Amino acid sequence: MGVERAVTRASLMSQSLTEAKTVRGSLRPIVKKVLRVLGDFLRSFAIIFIIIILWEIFPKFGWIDPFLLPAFSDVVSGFYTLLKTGEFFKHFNVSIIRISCGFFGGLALAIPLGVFMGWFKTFEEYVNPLVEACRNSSVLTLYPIFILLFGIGEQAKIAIIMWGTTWVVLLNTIAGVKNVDPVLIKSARSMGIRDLALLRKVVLPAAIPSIITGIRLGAANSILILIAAEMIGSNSGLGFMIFYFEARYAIPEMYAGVIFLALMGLTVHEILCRVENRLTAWHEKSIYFGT
Amino acid sequence: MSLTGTRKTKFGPRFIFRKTLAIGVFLLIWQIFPTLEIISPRTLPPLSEVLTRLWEISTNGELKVHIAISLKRALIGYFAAVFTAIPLGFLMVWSRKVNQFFNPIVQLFRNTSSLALYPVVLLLFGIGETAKLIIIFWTAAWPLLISVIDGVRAVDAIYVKAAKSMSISTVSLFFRVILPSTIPYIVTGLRISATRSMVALVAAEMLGASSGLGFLIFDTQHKDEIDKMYAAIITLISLGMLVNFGLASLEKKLTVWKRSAQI
Repeated sequence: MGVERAVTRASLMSQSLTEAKTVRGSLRPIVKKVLRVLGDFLRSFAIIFIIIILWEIFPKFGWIDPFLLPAFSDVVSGFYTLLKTGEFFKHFNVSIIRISCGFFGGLALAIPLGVFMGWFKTFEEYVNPLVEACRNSSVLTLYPIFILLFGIGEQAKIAIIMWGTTWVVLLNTIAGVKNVDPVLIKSARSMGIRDLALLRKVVLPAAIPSIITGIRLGAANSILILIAAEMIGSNSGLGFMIFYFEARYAIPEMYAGVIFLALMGLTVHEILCRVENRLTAWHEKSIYFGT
Repeated sequence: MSLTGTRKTKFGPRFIFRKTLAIGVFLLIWQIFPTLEIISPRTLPPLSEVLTRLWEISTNGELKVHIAISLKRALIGYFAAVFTAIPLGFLMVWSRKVNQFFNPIVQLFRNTSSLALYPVVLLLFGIGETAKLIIIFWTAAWPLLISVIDGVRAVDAIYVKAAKSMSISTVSLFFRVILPSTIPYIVTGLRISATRSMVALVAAEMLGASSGLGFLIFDTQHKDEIDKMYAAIITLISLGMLVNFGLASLEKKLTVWKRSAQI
């Protein structure tokens, strides 16, 4: 994805360079470039525009029951009222607190533990089956146990989000630390590096791409779990909000919430992908472990 | 399944010891802590009690009914996804322009958690079987679609150029060059989708179902039959791991050539 983008950007640049050389002084290349960028943009987002237009037209003409699928403009105005009354922010704040406690708590637990386990390979070998078992057991299945242990308060929700984040990040951190190119380690060793410096200057930088991949997968997981945790036994949060609106037949507001959650997922994914691409620019190989 | 293991492993007593020690300790703690009442046996009954209850519900046929229904739902949703997402994925990377056209929507939908769509599905289809199947289908379809797209885009351009220079037809270019080199990606997608559809299954059965393993877990929790709840959780987790393990070993077998080429 990123590579392709970089390649197209490079080819665009080289094209415009050659054009600039041949017709220097005229406005044509600039106009051409603007048109090309505009065309690229239109082509990239055409499908979104088409869907929005269909979403507006179909309910308006009654081809789809407007009760089940209100016109897009109604959804937007529903979202606007939610923003104006402050109801949206009430749920949003609660969700953000839950997800950041769980997600960052999971990271704080998983990354140091993963570095430790990747460093002490024998320990890792013994614990690995248990870690794999934990990662492979679906979080939602375990949610009743968390409710039993922590009650239906905030603790259970934060704990389950932590659980969902931890294992992916842990496995990716271990893999990153373990799979550092042996040549790097040997050459650092041959220059008489100490253990701690080896960890800090060689192993950790080399492990970062894999860790970031884990963080990206963990973030996607934590959004899923947040919604699940708020669906069951909760009276606030974005996940609760969409189900509440559905039950109350406030359909435009429900769609607004769903769209917001979708865009939130997309934004988090895009940001972490960018970070990942930037950090892995020097490092072609990355290890994927995740679902 | 050890994805992290790079060292060659030999089967033997040492290997088995290494693989089972941590889980053994975990199970031992599960047995001892509740018996000594370090953890209240009401929240965590001892392992032996859970296992006897598991044996009881699996012999009296109660478990079998729920497993059958859950598997049926998961399989229908999953295979519907397989048969639509794979061809669709190939169509979406037909050309750069087509791919560019569909890319935003694919990116948006793959990042939309299926649970967020659950109220929409409930609204459109009611709380019947269709809603559950659609949720599983939706969840399983995106990873597959993306692995097909990634797979086709990763095909070595040299192969395509070489085949084209020998004036290959589009159909045989697809079947002889593109499809074979995409297969490792598809198999990975199949595994990820299968794991995901197990998650979606639980999610779908949690809300408004009257049968299935996901329902059993939440129903027994409400009825305070905790040992039965743990028995159901163990069943569901083992089922999920079995599916994952089976598909992971299939993946390893089918991608042997790819891995050796990378080294």
